[in-house]
Amino acid sequence: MQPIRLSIYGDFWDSQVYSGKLYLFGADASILTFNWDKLVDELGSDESTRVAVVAAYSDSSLLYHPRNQVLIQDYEIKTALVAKFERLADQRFNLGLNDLANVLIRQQDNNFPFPHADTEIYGNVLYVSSDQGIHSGACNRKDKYPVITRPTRDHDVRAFGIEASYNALAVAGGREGLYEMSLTDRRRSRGQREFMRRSENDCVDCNWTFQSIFASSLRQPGFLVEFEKHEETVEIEDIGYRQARRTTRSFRGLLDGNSIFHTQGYSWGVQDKLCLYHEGIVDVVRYYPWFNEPEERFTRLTSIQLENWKGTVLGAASTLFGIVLECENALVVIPSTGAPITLTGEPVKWRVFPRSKNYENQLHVVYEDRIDILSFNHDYFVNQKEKVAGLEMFPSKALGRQS
Amino acid sequence: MVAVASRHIDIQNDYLFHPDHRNGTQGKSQWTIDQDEEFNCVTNAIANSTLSLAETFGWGLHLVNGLPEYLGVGANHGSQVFVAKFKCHDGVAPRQWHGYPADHAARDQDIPPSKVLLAWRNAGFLTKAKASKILLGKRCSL
Repeated sequence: MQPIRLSIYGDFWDSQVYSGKLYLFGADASILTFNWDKLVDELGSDESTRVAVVAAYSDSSLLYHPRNQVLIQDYEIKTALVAKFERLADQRFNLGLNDLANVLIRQQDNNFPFPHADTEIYGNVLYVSSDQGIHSGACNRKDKYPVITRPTRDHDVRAFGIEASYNALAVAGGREGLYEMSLTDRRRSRGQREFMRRSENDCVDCNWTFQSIFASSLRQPGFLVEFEKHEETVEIEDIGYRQARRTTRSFRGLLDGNSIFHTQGYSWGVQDKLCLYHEGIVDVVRYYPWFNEPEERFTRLTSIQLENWKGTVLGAASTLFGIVLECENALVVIPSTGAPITLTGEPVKWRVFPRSKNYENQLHVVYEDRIDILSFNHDYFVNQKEKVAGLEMFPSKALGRQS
Repeated sequence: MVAVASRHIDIQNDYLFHPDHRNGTQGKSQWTIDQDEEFNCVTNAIANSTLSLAETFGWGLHLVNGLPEYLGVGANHGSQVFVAKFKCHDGVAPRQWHGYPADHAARDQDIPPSKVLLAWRNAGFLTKAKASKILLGKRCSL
């Protein structure tokens, strides 16, 4: 099944989609905020494809929800859904900024450092990494400017890839190593957040493997900083006392990529899948952190051979719908089922949303003259326990709980 | 003591052609363009405001017909590079500058600042895609 493609023409640097809003970072140091839900509503005005449009672009969890699996597994319903997705894939959506005038909430100056290395939105806060450090500020605001106009600098370490989870921001600091910035106490003055170095090893990207962090490097083996998770009930002094569940993490150890994969290459890890690319092959290791024994936590699944492959991988990520590999002049998507899909053209920036509740089937790719927002929908019909290319959809995640 | 070739940039600044970056010294990047072209990188960088004589670091490109071309190889003497980094030795008069081919994929300190990459992109020397790769330390070709 081919992805559905929505192209917005313009001069952009980066994008984010969060809580019903699309944020496009203009190459002119602007931020455009769009009402994404309203745009999807307009795209889905044709009732015959509306459910597919909604699942594709605003509510990916719709067809992953455990309660809906009995519908997905019905042959006639599945056939009809597949036909709808395929019809949308044939019909490419091309939009200019003029076409989006009625869904534009605001165009404002981008007062974060620009151009930046990476962005992340977590808890309605936008985090931006750059050679000037980590900056943050509220977004998804209801007042005149949806994105804060005076961001705060949280730390001055040169930062590359950033990812947030478990009330913490993982920061790839290049030769400075991997850091973790606490996001728990928002009342604390910015610039005084707890900022811990987790490793001195070189890394340019990072992602969360449940409560642990996998850091990727283009110069050295990647590595996994493992944590154990602890759930406890605490009393919180609010108005009177109330009980709340609190999750804490304790350091378990650091594992070099060589000890996980037993070969050299570019490695990355997201949730239950740790991967390594070398010489046209992607090795996949399943990671289940709730087991104590290493041989149960790390299970070699398979090696995916890419035919006629030449060239170096510059970046990669795993998502529910498969694996995305970045080469110099193209992206290659290895879907959880079906043949690899090559997206030709040198990308400026690309991003996926594996921890999102509603957008986990999207791949955003910024090119010189546009952004393509692709939606991959084949994975709804794949056996989640058996797939190797792509993250497993756990029932807790499908129900909107953190996994 | 080996005399190092140099040229005047202005009355307060000289440029030295450091021999380590031309004689195959192990662990040092090497120029593959001649000294005239190396010096042109400096003057172009000043003209494009990516090198300020009031500061101690600057960045440049080897421009041919308005577009960058490779100017050297990295410290491994293999990877082709197209960005030059210039440093100033501030404690003498006139101030002494020297430069070397900068391998952004090998060393974080050889990644130009984002404002320099933005200036190059706005001047049409680099595409957004190349600027983005350089900023992230990803190897890229011209």
